[in-house]
Amino acid sequence: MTGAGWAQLIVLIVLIAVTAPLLGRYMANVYEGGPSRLDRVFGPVERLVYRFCRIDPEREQRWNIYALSVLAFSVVGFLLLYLMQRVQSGLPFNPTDMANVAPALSMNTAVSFMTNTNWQNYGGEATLSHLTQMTGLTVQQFVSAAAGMAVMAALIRGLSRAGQRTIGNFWVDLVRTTVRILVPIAFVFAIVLVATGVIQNTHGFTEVHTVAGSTQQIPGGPNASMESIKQIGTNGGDFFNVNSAHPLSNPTKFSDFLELYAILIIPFALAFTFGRMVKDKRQGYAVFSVMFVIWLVASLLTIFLEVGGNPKLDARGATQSVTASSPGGNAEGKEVRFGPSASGLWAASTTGTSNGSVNSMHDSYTPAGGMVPLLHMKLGEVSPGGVGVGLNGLLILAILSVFIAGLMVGRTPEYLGKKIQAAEVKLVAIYILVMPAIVLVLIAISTFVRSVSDVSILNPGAHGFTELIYAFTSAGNNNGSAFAGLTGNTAWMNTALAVAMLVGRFFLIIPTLALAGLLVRKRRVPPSAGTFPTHTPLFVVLVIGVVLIVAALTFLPVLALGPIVEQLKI
Amino acid sequence: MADVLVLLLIVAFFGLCVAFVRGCDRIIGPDDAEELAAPPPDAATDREPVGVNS
Repeated sequence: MTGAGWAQLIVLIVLIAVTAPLLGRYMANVYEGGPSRLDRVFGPVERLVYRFCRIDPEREQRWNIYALSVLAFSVVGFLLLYLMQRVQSGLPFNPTDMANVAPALSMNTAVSFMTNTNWQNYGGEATLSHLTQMTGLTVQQFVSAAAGMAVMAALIRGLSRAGQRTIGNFWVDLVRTTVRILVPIAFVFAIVLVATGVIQNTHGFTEVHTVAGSTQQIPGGPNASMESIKQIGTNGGDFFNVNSAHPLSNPTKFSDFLELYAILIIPFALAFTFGRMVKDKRQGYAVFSVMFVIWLVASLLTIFLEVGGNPKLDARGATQSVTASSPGGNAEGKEVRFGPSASGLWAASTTGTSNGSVNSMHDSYTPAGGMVPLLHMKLGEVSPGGVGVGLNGLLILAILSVFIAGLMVGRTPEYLGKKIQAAEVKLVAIYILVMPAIVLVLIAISTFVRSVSDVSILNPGAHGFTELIYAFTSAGNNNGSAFAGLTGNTAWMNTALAVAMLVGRFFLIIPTLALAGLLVRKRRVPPSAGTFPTHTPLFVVLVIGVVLIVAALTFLPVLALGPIVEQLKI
Repeated sequence: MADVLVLLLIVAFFGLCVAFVRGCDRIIGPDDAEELAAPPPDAATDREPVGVNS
């Protein structure tokens, strides 16, 4: 790893350590509805939305009404986005004359953005009009992220309140998250991105004459505004098909660093939001520690495996060391301006969150190097996780950890003073089992589908199987990054991936909200000598162990058939 | 025709989600009036950390 690679990692960590607690404190105030200096700016906007949508901000919801509100909101979002794609050729802001999108692809894309996955079976700027990208996809990038954060706020209220039956109001949480958190940050960040060279215009393609004498089509479009919320909201869907590897989306090493920071900042900050909302900052530090340790280990592993390069190339005399014209390491599928260090760090970060944007092609990683991002998603994306949903997953794993610890010492487990009993554990078990079940079942079925073997999988053997594993893992975890090398725009893949995204989103949100509804009505028991402390390094290690064991037991067999066997064959 | 199929698929899925909400509600059971009545001072507003040996 080069000095520049180490410098990037260290500066990123310092920046997150300094800014995440500040942002976490601000977000806690947003969800607690406390007074703020910004009320004068945001208050009138919120009141206007409440009045227009007939929302009573004082009226809170029981968990099931909260869940039905999430579902209703998502259905409407899906229908609007689906319709917009189906009729885009007749709508304005279509300078590149894009045709209407086919039904199966429209469904896949609408599901993808409504679930915050941003899996892209479509060809970016080659499929969608500017209007569809601006008002269809980008709006969903805001509101799907806000919906995930609203669910997180509800779960934290379930833990922090006692003897109540309501967990907040979904519509209020949605509006406050969008107006007070996502829009302001994304607005500022979009301007910063424009300053670094990310494009923002309404042009179509511009024909230019190159130095070599040929002509080239340079795409235009409203990219910075989408790029900004794509990273801030851990969405991942880019204006361009090659995502953040495109020079007009991620032009320089500096823009790469800023976008990487934007991916990580809200998920890490939410750990501090949690600590503040439960009135015990140490709980937030513990959660942050779990997130940070797993993310750092995954990042270093990916970086070192890619910097190390491919031993087969060494044997054939090819140099993989750093030179004036090469960043060294495994260079295939990577932008020269980023190299293996920045690419590996991005790959681990985009899969530890539910972001899914890429600045290099994961399909071209060494088998072991590619397995780390794959495994990182399979851990449930809790390091640091997608905005909101990542913290949900980690809190549920923390509850599982105190349950396991309780079993070991023979005491009724407690988390934040709430007794963890049969009903809680049933909901936790459902949450833990849903994702692996849908991912593994759909992978298994897909291996028998003729279009998958004949059309979708482009590489034979273990590598092709890894591509299939990656696709369904990405969809089932609402990540959206692609391993590449897989043709996803077929009837089967469009439908099966959409099902994986839907189940991976809503079948996790529902038990999470049910858990919030269950915990919110429980009275808090005072801590006793038998209470397992949940802010100590021991608890952090226990949660990390549970995360790893749950993933290892579930996914080791399928990984053995893909990346592990491929690495052993090198 | 394909549009209708997509619509049916989505309606079916969200119908399943509503059933799932009801299933989870059965797991957690009805709100217990005794549990909710006259809650003690909410420890969440206390300064004392919870879940900790002290």
